[in-house]
Amino acid sequence: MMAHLDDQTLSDLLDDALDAPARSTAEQHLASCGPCTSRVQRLRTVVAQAAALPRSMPTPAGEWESIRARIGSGGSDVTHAPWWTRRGALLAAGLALVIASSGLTLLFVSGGRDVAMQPTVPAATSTALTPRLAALEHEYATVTRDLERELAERKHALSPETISAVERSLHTIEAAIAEARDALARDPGSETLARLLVAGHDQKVELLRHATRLATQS
Amino acid sequence: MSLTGSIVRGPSPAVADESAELARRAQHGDVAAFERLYRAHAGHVRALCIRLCADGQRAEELAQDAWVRVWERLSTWRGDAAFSTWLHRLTVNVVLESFRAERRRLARVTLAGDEDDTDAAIPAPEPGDALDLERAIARLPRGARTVFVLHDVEGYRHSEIATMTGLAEGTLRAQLCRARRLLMEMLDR
Repeated sequence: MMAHLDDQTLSDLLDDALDAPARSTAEQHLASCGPCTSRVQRLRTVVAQAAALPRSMPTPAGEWESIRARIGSGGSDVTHAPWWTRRGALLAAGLALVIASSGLTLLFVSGGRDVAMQPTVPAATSTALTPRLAALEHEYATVTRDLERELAERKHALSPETISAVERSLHTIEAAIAEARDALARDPGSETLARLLVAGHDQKVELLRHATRLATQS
Repeated sequence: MSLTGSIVRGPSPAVADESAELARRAQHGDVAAFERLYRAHAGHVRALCIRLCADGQRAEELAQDAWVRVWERLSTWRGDAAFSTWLHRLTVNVVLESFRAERRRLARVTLAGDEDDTDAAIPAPEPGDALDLERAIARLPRGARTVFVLHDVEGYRHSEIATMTGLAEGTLRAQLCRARRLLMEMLDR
């Protein structure tokens, strides 16, 4: 008798992911192997139990109210219009101006759907990063863009002092990111500089996230 | 034919029709219609978030994020797919984005070239600690849990999960196998 079927084969068999010869071989084995038949039945039971799990779970009290507060009091004129036409547009524009002052951020928003500005980051700078760092920056770009959009929609709930503080902090962080990036362009192999760059991005994401939460809770 | 099925479980036609109508009204800024959509689907969004991230607090945040994202992007729903299908895909994307953000943080300590692997070690259960399936799923490593929830609980196909997660189909089949094996072990203890 051939060796027992491995779990990958059994799992693929359940999902009809084996090619015809492999499936035929597996089925022939199962026809004469008690342990494998027992194991595939156990596997099938787990899969069936998973499919039968309840589709729904109770939602936390007050969830809708929180969502309602976050989507604002208006209708489509507030939420579905381009961000620069919404309430708080001037404040959003102010923040965008600060963000636009950073070449790095321009790189970030280059794929943005709602951002009118075009990236002007020097090509030499953007190609100086390793593929791994470039991929990380791409991910940061996605998250940052979403957070910026969300914050732009909610920042009207923040006091002018808070907005000013957020903008100053963003400016400082972006300056640090830009410095790290410039240094990395001169010394691409430096892991310390790479960590510094990533830490700067993290700080920016955290600041945007924190500011968005503040705006939501206001 | 697949022995496990591969069709995403959806609402009844009547619920789907009502949701479509509500979604169209919400697209025009009808917040009351959006609230009814929320009431109809919030439980599933909640379940999806909890099962994917195995963290109640985080799931609560992500579910809210997902609903806000739904409101913001309602205009992109064209009615080609059922509203629930669109909603669940968007929710999954929100959760996966949060995973990617977490990976970035971990990247600070793995820049030397380590592969990203956010799978946490499975906590060792106490002797005689029988687990129900929900608790066992929550103990799975993240990668395996994600694929298992999307495939075996939610009914997405391998190809759909590959698109959502960016994983090669071979990798996600291996993750699925790993999840099932670990679940069997946990449930058999």
